[in-house]
Amino acid sequence: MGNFNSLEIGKRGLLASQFGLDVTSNNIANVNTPGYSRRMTSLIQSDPLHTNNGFMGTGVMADKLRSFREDFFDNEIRSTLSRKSGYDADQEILHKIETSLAEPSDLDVAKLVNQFFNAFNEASTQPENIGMREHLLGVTQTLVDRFHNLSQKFSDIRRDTNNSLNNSTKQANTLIKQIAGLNKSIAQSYTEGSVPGQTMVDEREKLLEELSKLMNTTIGTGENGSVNVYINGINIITGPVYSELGLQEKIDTETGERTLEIIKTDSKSMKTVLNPQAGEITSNLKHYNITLDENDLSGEYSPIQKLNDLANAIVQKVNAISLNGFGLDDTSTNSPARAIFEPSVGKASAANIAVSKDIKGKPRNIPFSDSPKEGGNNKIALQIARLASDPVFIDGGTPSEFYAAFIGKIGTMSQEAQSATSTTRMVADQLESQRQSTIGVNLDEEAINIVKFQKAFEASSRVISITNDILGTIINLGR
Amino acid sequence: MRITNQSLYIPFETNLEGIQDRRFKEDLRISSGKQIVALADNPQNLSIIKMLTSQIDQTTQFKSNVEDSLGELYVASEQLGVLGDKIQNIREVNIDALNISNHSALSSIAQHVKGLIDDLIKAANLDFNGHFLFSGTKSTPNTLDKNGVFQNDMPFEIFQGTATATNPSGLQVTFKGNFKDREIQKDKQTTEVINVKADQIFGKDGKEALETLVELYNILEFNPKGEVRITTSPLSKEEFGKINTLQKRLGEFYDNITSVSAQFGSKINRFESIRDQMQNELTNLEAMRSTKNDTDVAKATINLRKEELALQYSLQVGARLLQNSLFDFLK
Repeated sequence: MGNFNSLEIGKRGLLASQFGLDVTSNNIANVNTPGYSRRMTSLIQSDPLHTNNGFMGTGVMADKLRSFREDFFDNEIRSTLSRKSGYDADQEILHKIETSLAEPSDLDVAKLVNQFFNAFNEASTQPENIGMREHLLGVTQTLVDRFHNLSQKFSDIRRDTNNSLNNSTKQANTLIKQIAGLNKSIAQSYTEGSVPGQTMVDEREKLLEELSKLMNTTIGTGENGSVNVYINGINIITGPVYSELGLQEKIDTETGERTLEIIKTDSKSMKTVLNPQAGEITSNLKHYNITLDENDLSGEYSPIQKLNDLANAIVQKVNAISLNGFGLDDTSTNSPARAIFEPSVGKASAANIAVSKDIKGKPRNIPFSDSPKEGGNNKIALQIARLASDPVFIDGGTPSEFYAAFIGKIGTMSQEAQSATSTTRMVADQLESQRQSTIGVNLDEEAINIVKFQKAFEASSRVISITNDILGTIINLGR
Repeated sequence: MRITNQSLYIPFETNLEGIQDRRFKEDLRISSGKQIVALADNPQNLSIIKMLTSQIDQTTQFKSNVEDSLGELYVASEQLGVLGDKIQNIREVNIDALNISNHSALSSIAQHVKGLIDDLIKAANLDFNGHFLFSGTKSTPNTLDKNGVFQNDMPFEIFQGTATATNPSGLQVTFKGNFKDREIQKDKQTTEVINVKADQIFGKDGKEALETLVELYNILEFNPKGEVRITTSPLSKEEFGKINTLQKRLGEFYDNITSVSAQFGSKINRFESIRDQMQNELTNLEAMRSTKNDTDVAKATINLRKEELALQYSLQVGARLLQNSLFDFLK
């Protein structure tokens, strides 16, 4: 043992403290970086020297950096985020539907349906009155326009959902590619246990969470720190190898119904349908294929189908009565069979409902009478007006009851999505808080570490300074 | 539990968002006056509101039907009075004719009767809001039964036909309408007839009373041979008898019109009562809807104030909480 050992020990102390300060600085700098997991300097004694007096310490050295990721929290958070983004997507689409329907307000389609039947009621008090007939035509056209407008808006929402699905699929592919790339880099640096390795793990976890928001994933541990990713049990990423995802249109050969599904294509161009169970893509697929699909055959609730059913019931029921009626100028004993709406043949929908050419611009032709040459006869008008109270008009209820149930159902769907979003957000926040309590940076702790390493650095510097003085004294002995 | 910067921010951010969201909703409730500002707020109540709104719209329409009809009923009732008055007037003139000393004035009395018949027909042809009041469902000119040679497009017409022994003047009366009901819907289930038919006023075929009057005119204007009565020609005993019979029949027609008029008056009273009931019903329905739909301003204001206070304190406490760390004390 000589005085030079003290210098070496001092140097090691300086280096270890400097390293500790670097790690602490990095933690402080990343205090708000999403996905960052704090690092901790692990100091160990350097190998001792055997002396006549026994083993003598040789100072300190920095060991591996310690990180605090916990798979349990990561898995739970990914799973919760999947559900939360699915509910968020539900809420967004239902909110769009709500806005399209102008709900809640007094300008809804139910109001116009009421106005339509009321216009018949009103006109029935003076069936000869051309002004009232004109008013009825105006109200009918407004109702038809509203149906068209709603149909267009539902169609726009479906197209937006399609665009969103395309974008999400592209985003998923980008994420998958990045995750596979990080798998490769992590595997290379895994054995070194170096800082870049941990940085990549953090980055990969962030990407996995982003992917989970799109579709729920299951993560398996791969070789050398890499991960394997599965969607609904189907492997998407194995280490650095990954599959491309895509959207595929499925056409039902019997019904012609067109739906979308998400598929993976592997290196041999084999296509596999994924059917993810949660996440934004899952939710958007559900709305594209059911909620907004007017040809949906799943039997689940589809607002656009309900709207079409309402339009169809109005057309069929009103026309069935009006075909037996007579206009103001009809003289033949045979009814001219005039419809109020088109199409008079086949199923009507919100998109194709129209005011019949028989009466459009021809108020005198509107069939109010059940006999020819009776301008004051309002039997047909009254029959049509009474449809507003028909207890079996549609789905075993009146038009108003049907619409109230329709709005109630959309409201309930929206409420469920909202409630589920709040719950999953709460769970996600709690999980994130718990994870942060493990992996997050605490500035107070880091402040203590800074003081700790600063003082250690100062003390080591002092050791070197004193050793320098001692060596100077010894050197000066020979003068 | 180890508290880190992120674990402080996350719940703080979530709670702040929650408070601001609730504050926004209360603000919206107060400014819009509506309790339900989104479908998800209360779907059950929203369905009830929709049903109540529909019921209010329908009842408003039924009330409007009754009110519109009341206008027609008032006019028809008044016109029934006019018709009764005319017949009564003819009956009075007829009494003059039966006065034996008045035989020189028979021709002028006949002309007076003829004028009153014209007035009566004019009154029976009255239209209201573009439709005839007493012609059933053939209420417009183009729907009248104009099968013969008629002069006009009115439901009741007196025209010059061929003179015969029984009808020396050749005057004929026709009715071109029908005897069907005109109905309005006064509630979801029931309809109400709002017109008086021609046969109710003028008897068989809607013209019996008018033909009786023509018959009276013929007796007054023509002698039994069918010649125009000269001033010195008094009524024969047989003609007296006929006029008495006709006078009796006119009395029956008058009584009939009076009776129809009374029934009509009663109907008007009933319609007015229905209208008032509907107004009450509407008031109740609107009150029910209001309890579901309208904002309880006091409650919403208190809630808004609560949220504002929560926001204020959260911001104050949060600002202190997030600002302080050991670094603030290291110099």
